[in-house]
Amino acid sequence: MPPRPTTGYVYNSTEMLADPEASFEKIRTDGGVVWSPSLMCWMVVSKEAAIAALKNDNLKVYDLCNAFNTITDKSGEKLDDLIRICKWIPFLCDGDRHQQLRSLFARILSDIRDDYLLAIDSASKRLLTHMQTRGGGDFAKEYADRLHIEAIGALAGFNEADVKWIAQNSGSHGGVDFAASLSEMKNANQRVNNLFDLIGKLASNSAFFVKIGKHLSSVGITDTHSNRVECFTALTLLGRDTLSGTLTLSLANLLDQHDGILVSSDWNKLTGLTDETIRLSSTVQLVSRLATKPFNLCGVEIASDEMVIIFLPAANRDPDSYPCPHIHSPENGDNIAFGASRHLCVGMPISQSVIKISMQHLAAVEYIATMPGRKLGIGKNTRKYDALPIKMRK
Amino acid sequence: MTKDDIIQETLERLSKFLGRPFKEEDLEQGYDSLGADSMDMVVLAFELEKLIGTAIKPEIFMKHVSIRSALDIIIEEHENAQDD
Repeated sequence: MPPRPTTGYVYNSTEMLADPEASFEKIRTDGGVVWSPSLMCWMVVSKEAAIAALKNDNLKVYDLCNAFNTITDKSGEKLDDLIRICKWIPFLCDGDRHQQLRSLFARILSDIRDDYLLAIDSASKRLLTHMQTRGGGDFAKEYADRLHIEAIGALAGFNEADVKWIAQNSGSHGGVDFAASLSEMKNANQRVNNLFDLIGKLASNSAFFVKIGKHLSSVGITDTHSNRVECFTALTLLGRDTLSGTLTLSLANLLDQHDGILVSSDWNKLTGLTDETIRLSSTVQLVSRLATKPFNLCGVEIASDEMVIIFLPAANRDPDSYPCPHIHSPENGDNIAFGASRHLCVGMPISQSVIKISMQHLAAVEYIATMPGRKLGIGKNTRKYDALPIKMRK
Repeated sequence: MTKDDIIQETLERLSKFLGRPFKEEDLEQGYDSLGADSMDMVVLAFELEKLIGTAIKPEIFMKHVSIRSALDIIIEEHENAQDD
């Protein structure tokens, strides 16, 4: 067997969160698919290899539920609520359950699409107007973290206070995070527990929840109060961080490219805004897979039971695939921010529409300027700003 | 919390995870050479965190060639925090 191409890069989560591209550049000097002795897994940073890996049937999703059970056995610390919610997340499942969840969420999203996008439009205008009347604020906390939850909460008939609480407490950090600490997992478990508790009390026999119930039944999941609550909780979690990440990373990136100030006319120059915005922000940092048998990945031999980590933002800025990898450009092609193949995000079309609406509203703001106090979130799987202060003028 | 307490806790945890006794010199090896896995390091980091009261990232055990060198950093940071 030929020697493994190996990287000298030692994984550092703080460093990678602060400047992912700097870390990816170091890894790229060693190759597009390289073995990490520090993590004892394969790292994929080229777009070609990322797509090949995502399409490869010899790679299955890393079983996070099993990992949580193992940690519980070893430590005695219960992570029951994390295990409960993971069983509703399509990208954490494989086989029949994965197919069932894809079908479920595709049906729900298709059913609620028009109402959801109207609610997004309304919430986006309201949240931005509120910030503008005060001359600005924290774009992360007051807009990006809230947008998806405001919309889904409006459809579910929740009141403003409950929607605000859910928006503040539905972060995914520690829950589905790569290399999370046990204390982070415990915090995530408690957050999910609190969400189940509140949503369990709020979930009613309203038209919206009856609709969820019908979709559950249609894919073969029993329509119970508990299943409606868990499904709805998954729906809130699935959109919150990824949307917030795309919006906060994009705005921060655009402000940085324009010396800290964006005026309305700047937005007109950004051709192909939505797709390039998504590519450059690439909020989902990585997906993990486990090899079920030996196979060749773009010239590299992967052995059975080896873990493969696919870094989506690295693939989305691969200089071998994009003529202008670090800027908005119509010359750049498709991206894989939403993944590819059987785990391609079922929320992709609706998410693209949401981002487009949001960007249109931001483009209508005469003046946005960066302010000090930016703070990146601690989640490693989904990168976002937890604080992004801005000044605004109409 | 002394350096010896931290080492002792580590040896006890490894013994529990792997079902055999460990000596201090065993800590000169990496966790994988001892037969432990990344989940064991997640739990070890948590137990040490509870002991010393400051957050420990499990990846510290992956970044260092031996458990001992990772513990040296943890102990040093703990002692610095105590002096502050």
